[in-house]
Parts: sequence; C-alpha cells; structure tokens
Amino acid sequence: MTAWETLGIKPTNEEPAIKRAYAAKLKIIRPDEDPEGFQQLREARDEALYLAPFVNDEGEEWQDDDWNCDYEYDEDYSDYEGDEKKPITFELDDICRDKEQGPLETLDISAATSEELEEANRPEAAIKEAELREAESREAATSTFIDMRDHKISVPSQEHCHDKPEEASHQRPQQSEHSNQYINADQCDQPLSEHAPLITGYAPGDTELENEDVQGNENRLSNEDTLTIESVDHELEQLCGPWSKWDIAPWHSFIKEIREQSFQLSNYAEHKILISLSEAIIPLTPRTERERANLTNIFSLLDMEFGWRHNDRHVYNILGDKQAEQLMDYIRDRLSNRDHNQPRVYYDAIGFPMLKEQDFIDYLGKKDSIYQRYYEQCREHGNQYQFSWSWPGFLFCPLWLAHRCNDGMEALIGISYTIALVILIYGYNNNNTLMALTGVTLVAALHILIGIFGKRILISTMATAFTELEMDKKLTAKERLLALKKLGQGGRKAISDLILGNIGIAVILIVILAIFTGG
Amino acid sequence: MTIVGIDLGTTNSLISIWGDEGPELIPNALGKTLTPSVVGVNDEGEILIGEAAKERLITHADQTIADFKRTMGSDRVVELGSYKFRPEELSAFVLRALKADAEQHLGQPVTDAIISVPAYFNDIQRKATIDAGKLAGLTVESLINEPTAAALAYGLNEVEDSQFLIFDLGGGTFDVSILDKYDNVMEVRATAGDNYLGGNDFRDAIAEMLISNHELDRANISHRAMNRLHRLAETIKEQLSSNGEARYAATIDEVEIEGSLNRDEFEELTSPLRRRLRIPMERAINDAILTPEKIENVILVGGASRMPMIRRMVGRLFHKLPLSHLNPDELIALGAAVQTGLKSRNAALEDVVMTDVCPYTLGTSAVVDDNFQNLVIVPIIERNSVVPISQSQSFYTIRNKQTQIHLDIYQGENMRPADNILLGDLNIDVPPAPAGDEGIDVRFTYDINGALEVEVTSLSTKKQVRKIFKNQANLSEEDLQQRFKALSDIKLHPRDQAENAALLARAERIYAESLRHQRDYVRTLILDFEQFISDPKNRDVASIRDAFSEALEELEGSLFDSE
Repeated sequence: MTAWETLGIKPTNEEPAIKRAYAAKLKIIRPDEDPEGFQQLREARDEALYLAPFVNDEGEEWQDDDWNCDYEYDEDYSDYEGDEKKPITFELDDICRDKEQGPLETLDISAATSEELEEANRPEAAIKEAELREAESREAATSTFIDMRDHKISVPSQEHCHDKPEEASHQRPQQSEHSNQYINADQCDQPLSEHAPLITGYAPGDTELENEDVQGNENRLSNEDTLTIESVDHELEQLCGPWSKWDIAPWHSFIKEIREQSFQLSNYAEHKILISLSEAIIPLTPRTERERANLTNIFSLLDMEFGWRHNDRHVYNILGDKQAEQLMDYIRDRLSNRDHNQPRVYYDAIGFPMLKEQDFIDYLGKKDSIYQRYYEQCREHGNQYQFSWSWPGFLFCPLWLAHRCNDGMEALIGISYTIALVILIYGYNNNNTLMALTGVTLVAALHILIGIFGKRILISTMATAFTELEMDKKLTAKERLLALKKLGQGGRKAISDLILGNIGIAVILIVILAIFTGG
Repeated sequence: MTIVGIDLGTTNSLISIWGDEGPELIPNALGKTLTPSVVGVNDEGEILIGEAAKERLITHADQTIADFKRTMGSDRVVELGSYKFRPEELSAFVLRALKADAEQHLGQPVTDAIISVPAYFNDIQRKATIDAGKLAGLTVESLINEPTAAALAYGLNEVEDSQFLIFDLGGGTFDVSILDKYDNVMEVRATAGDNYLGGNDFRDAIAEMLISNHELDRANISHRAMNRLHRLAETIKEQLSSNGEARYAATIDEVEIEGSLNRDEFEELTSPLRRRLRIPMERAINDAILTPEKIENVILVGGASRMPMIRRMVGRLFHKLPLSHLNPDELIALGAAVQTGLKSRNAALEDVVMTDVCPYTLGTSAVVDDNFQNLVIVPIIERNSVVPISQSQSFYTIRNKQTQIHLDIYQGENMRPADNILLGDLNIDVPPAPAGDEGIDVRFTYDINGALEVEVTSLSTKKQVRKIFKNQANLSEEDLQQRFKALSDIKLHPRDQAENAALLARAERIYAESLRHQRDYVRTLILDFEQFISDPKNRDVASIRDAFSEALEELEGSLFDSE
C-alpha cells in the first residue's frame, strides 16, 4: 500500500491537500484508539509530504532513481516551500529617524566608484542621482554603522538535510562503516566544514590578480594585515545593519577588499555575504527612495566585483534552489537596465582560472580535497606543473581518470593505453622482443606519466570545463552546474564505458594487426 | 463521572472543568481562581494551603514552603514544623485543596483529573506528579503538557489555521511548543524547554542585586529576611511591568535599603536569563524543521510572560507582535479542561483531534566504533516524534560465543549513556555463535499516555522479552530517585588538555541539540577526535583540533538574529 493509498488520495504536489486528507482520516483513525493505524497514517503523511515535490501537476511521480541530482527537481521543489515565505517587517521607524545633518559620505563615495559602474549606471544614473539627493536631503547618511545585527548567519544546509530520505535504521553495532555512511552518502552535510581548515593555509602576497577591475591591488596584497574570517565576520556584522541604512561607502571598500583577497578566504566571505544579503533582502521590498537607491548601488557593486549575475552557480550552491532563485531574480531585476552581459572568468597569475572549493566539489564530487590542496600548492609555488605524485593515478592509470572525470581526457589516455597493451601482447605472443619491449615501455611510461601528471591533468581538464561553461552566455546557472557535474564526476559508468570501448578498440587493433602481418 | 483539569503550577495552581459552555475555572474558598502553590504549618500543627500560607511565608518562614514544584522528582525532604515532606506530598496538599474547592462548587465528589505538567518534565517528574495526585485521592487520567494545554485553550477559537509557537514562561519552568493547526487537527510539532527557568529566576536576579548593592551579609541572611527580600523583589518586578522605574525602601535584617531600579537596568541584570530562553526556542524550531519566519503566531503564556522585556524579546526574535491572553496564568487550566472534554468525547469537541510528541529521545546504549570501546546512546525514538509511536532497530553481539545481551534503556539527549536518565534494563539470552552472527530486534513502543514498552526479540530463536516502563513504573521509588540524583551529580572526566575537553563538551552539547543525520555526523566527529587525541603517536594535535573546532563552528549557526 503506498502512502497515497493510505491517505486515500491521488499523488499530488499540494501540501495542503495532503494535510487535508490526513486530517480527514484522523477523524476515523484516532491516535488513542488505534495507535498502529495512526502510526501508519502519520508515516504515510510524512512520506507523501516528502514525495510531494517530486510529483508533477498530472499526479505522476518522477521515476528517476538518481536521487543525488536534486537540481533537476528544483521547479517542483520550489512548490513545496513556495507559499510559506512571508515578508519580515523591520522596524524602520527608529532607523530612519536620524535627522542629524552631516557630510554626505554617500555622495563622495559613489563618485569614487570605478568608471565601469558609472558607465553601467548610465541609463539609471540620472534617476538615481536624483533619488540619492532627494533621500539625502530628507535624511542624512549617518557615518556610523555599528548597529544591531538583524540577520542570521547560519549554515543553510540543515533544513535541507531533514528533507532527505531517512536511511534504513538497521544498525550493526560492531560495524563502524554505517556510522560514516550517512555522512558520505549525504552530500548535504556541507563540504565547508571539511575544507574550512584550508582557508587559513595561504600566505598573503603570492596572488596577483590579472583583472582590470582591481586596481592598485599590489599595495593591498603586499600589505601585512589581510582579512581573516573573523574580520570579515566582524565587518559584515557592522555592515548588515538595518538595510535601509546600508551605505554604499563602507560596502564599496569592504566588497572590494574581499574581492581582492577572496582567494585567501576561498568562498567563505562570499558565502557570508550571500547568506546575510538573502536573509535581509529577499523578504523585503524597498519602501523609500533611499532604500531603493542603496540596494541598487550595493547590487551593482557586488555584481561588478563578483560577477554575481553570472556567478549564479555559486549562489545556487550556497543558498539552495529556492532562495537562490529569488535572490538571482532580485538581482537581475535590480540590474536589468545594465548592459553587463559579458561573463567573466578571473585568471590568476599562473594562468589558472580562479577555482573555488565549490567548483572542486561540483566537478570532482568525491575526495576533492586532495586536488584542492594540489591546486593551492601550485598557486603557492607559482608553478602550474608543481610536482605531486599520485599513487592511484600510477596504479590504475586510465581507470582512475575515468573514475575521476568524464570529459574526454580519460578516453584519450585509455586508447593510448590499449594500443600500448595490444602492442605488448602481440609482441609477446609472436616472440617479437622489440615489439614486446616497446609495449612494456609504453605501458610503463603511461603509468608513470599519470602518476606524475595525474593531478595536473585533472585540474586542467577541470579548468577548461569551468572556463568554457562559465563563458557560455546561453546557459542558465542550473544548466551550467549540471553540465559541470556531468563533465566531472566519472564513476562506475565512465569506467565501464571506458573498458567496453577499449575492448572494442583492442579487438579491432588485433584484427588489423593480424591482417597486416598476415598471421 | 466528572473529570477536572488541574494546572499545578510553581507559583499558582488552578482547577477547571469542561462545562456546558466550554472550559470554566472553579474559584477557591476566597472566590479567587488562583490558589498560590504554598504550603505551611500553623502552631496547632494544621496544614495551611494557598493564600493563607503565602501570607505566612515571611512571618513563619520556617514553617512555610513555596516553589516546591521545582523539586518534583527529587527526594529533597522539607521540614515543616514537626513534619517532613517530600515534594509529591506538598503538591498533594495543594491538589487536595483544589479538589475540595471543586467538590464544593459542583456538589459532587471529584475522583478523576487531568493534570498539566511542563512539557519538558521528564519521566520521573511526571511520575512524581501522578503520585501527588494519588496522594490527594485523585485518579490521574492522564498528564497534559502545559504548552499543549495552552494551545488547546487558545487555539480552538482564537488562532486561525496556522503554525504557531507557544512560549510558556511560568513561575519556575519554561516550555516552548510549536503547533500546527489545520482542519480541526491540532498537531504538536516540537517541544523543548528548561525545567529550571522561570519568572522566579528573574525575581531572584533582583534579590541578588539587592544583596550585592546594599552589601547585605549574604552568608548570614536569615530565612525570613530572604523571603522578605524575595517578596520585595517580586514587587519591584511587578512594578517594572507597568512603570519604567520602580522605587523601593525596606528594612532587611535591620539594614535600611532604599533605591530604585529602571527597566534598562533590569534588562541588563537578566540578560543571562534571556539568553537561556533562546536555547529551547532554537531547538524547537530546528526540530520542527522550520525557520522563525515560518511561524505565523507567537503566543505568550504564563504569568512571567507579562514582563514587557519578554514581549519585546520575542517580538524582536520573530519579527512579529506576540499574542497574549488577558490572563496568561489561566490559560493552561482552561486548556486542561478542554482536554477533559476531549477525553470524555464531549459532543462540542467531537471533531477535534490533538496529537502530541514525546519530548525526550529514548534509546539504548551500544558500541558503534571498530574497537568496541565507546558505549554510546543509540536513539530509537527521537525526541519530538509524534506519539503513539513504535520503532525498532537491530543490534548484534560483539563477542564470540556471547550468550546474553544486556540492554539499558535511557531517556535523554546526551551521547554518553552516563549523562542520560536510565529508565531501566533488561537481559535476553542468545545462542552462542561467532560475534556479529546473533542479533536482537529491539522495539520501543511509546503510547499516548507516556508508557514505554520495550520488546526484544532474538533474531534466530524468535524468543521475546518484554518490559513496560510506564508512569506507574515497576521500578522501585528509591531506585528511580537514586538514579536521578546520580544524574545531577555528573562529573566531568578530567582530561589532560582543557582545550580538548572544552571542545568535546561543546561537541556533545551539539550532539544533544541535533537530530538524525547531524547526530550521527557529530558522533563520528567526536569518536574520531577522541581516538586521535588518545593515541600518543599523533603529534599534530593542534591542527586536528582546529579542524574539529571548525567543523563544530559550521554546525552551530545561530537560528535567530543576535539581539
């Protein structure tokens, strides 16, 4: 009996309908009279509520067993939480009352924002200037930002976690694998915790950003006092006061600073900003002109520095579907009049695109930390070809590559390997020492090559995939994410494909060789 | 047969009944609905209950006692005059007085009652409450959680179908419940609380302030002067609810004290208490898988919620104006009456179904690591599961030729068995076999009245062992009490490094606050970390410790904005 049958309804994605059915049944199956029936009913309801997001409007359930790919269900999923969001109202009264006249910092700084912003602003610039002035004449910008914090900053994944299916609860106390099982199987124990220690692993000053947006960063980077997580935290705490009070000035310098040093912070800072922003912004609509102006300014800054509109893959990863969708819509809405369509990929000094933790996780899926470390080592030493031996690469050669990624490189190596192997076997079978030796040398060379360059190959295929996807204007964030996941994350299927394909190639080669040599 | 509803509170108690027009409160002999939960002995050796006893708190400090609800479930004996009383007996006196009021009012004997208890009362405290009822000559039909009762009283008429939070700050206990009301179903989603936090703590904070500000001799202050001080603090607290500033002047132990306290100072004084109030709220919201924004209403219950400071705090946390009843202290008793109506299937309530949750995690202890070294709790019924519920889990032997499996049954949220309340144990025989081949299936069934049945089945022989742990427990009174006492004397294991110990303590607290996946994750973290630091070969403790603390940091995001 399915959950739907127990509830006596057809599969539906409407939460209220499920609750109604449950309530109706509950009048017949009373908890105090029929505990077992009640438990079944309640479990059916919980299951139905869990399944609801995966039911389409015709009442059919998704028949996809790839549960890891949450992103595909995102539209249905959004229905699940859709109607529950209600706007928070901040107490604006005590915030906007400050009539104290003072030097208008806002003006000074918006003048100081980079040319690009002004250019991008042009269509709205006039309106905004007017808005700003009007706003300022009404209420002067106060230069203090030490406000109570009104936003929660928390790990967003937790709520999401609870929505995952419960795993079978059979527990064999003498085996410890199972206790790890949840963690491995469940990707939503956010990777941040695993990688957090990496954040502190940088020495300042090594990174030079080749980016026209960031000027004078040599000064900044040679400076000893770099941002730390604590300082970002602290700063955000001060900045994210009541948002109507947000001022472009400190945000500008803060965002710029983070942008310049974002590599030392990895995406932690961005994460923090995103979370606080989305918490604060999404439920709100700006009420006064000043608020609107502030918001637009901050968005254009963020977009300028982080390429936010085009970096939405990160936004998805950090915030989860629903919130990200809202935030991105919001951002696009705010910035819709800008001609700002050029996607950007930032490159570092040694020619790598700037990859972040999340990219590694998206692309590699499992055990990505080794490669992150390698990547960071490369950056640290300023050398793309930093030596790092890879034992699995050495031992399993093409199979390892296939296990790791799925974007062609593994096929290339696989074919070379098969050719070498065929030569070896053929030489051995025909007592042709030269061919056998060539075969052995080729095989050994491939093993050693992958042993030495395996990590490097992975990183560069990843960087290529990342750059191409990121530069593709047509793709939406979700498509990009899925494509990146598809290119990376090889696994069993890739391995079996590789083996089957190469058996075919081997057979053809042997036949050709046989015909050629007349054996 | 008439069933009455009773709110047995820390400061005041009430009795109610489901009448023709809904819930009614029954007045006491003085015509008041609130009967102070105070018991005293007069010079003739007679017991005084209620208002009279309350008046004597100062004058006959040694012969009068209040706040005994806080000691429910412990075996603290109080000497009153020539008598010695246990907390259950003191409560029984109050119940007896209430019962007499009801009999007077109804003109017929009252034998059955539904008594409200703080949702976060544990099994022992609940049992003590039932015992108190028995001592007063009442059959306790069932216990109802206080916030649930409040929700019943409030929710039936005044709250629309929505998800709401009941914030119940009574005199001595604090409870939070999240409820979902729809289509005549009232569903408790999650419950959390603090059994030792209430309005009296706010009062005591003022009293402490008075002592330190006026340099009273803390060590030698008399019982009587202390009661006076409490009374004074209470008055100040009440004044601050209506005025911005309270002035006071009194003579305590021949020292003249005079001064004033304003609201800001009071807030300052009680900020640690307000911090404590947030913990159960965060836990309940997390357990209900909600966020503060999704809670549509917040209802304040309990006398202490009258403090403007509390209203403001709740408003700030949830960004909405909290609702409150005109008489927040009456709500629970009214709700208990609604429950009696539900119980007797009163026609007016025919369609209403109420589902509640079990507030604590129930589980057993087992080893889950490779080395069989760490005995940890394996939760079987997680806290805030809807009751009645039945859940099972399998366990296997860890030694070759093991012939018996011993099961300890625990209630509580902590990872180490010793930190939880042991409800009892049972043994089951299994045929000798290699380790891991023999197993048992353990089924926990928790019924609507809070009775836990444990059924253990051997997987190979199908032999069954059953044991029922209910409020009328078959464990001896002393047994339970001793264990409870043992729990309150928990000592921290001395570890070499304070830093590691602090981190571990924090991790275990996080374990206690989380559920399911997260719990397993934290447990793995803890066990791994412990294993690492106990191995002398590992030198790089500092970096592992950093990683560990980062991981904890990640887990512990605050749910609310900081105030």
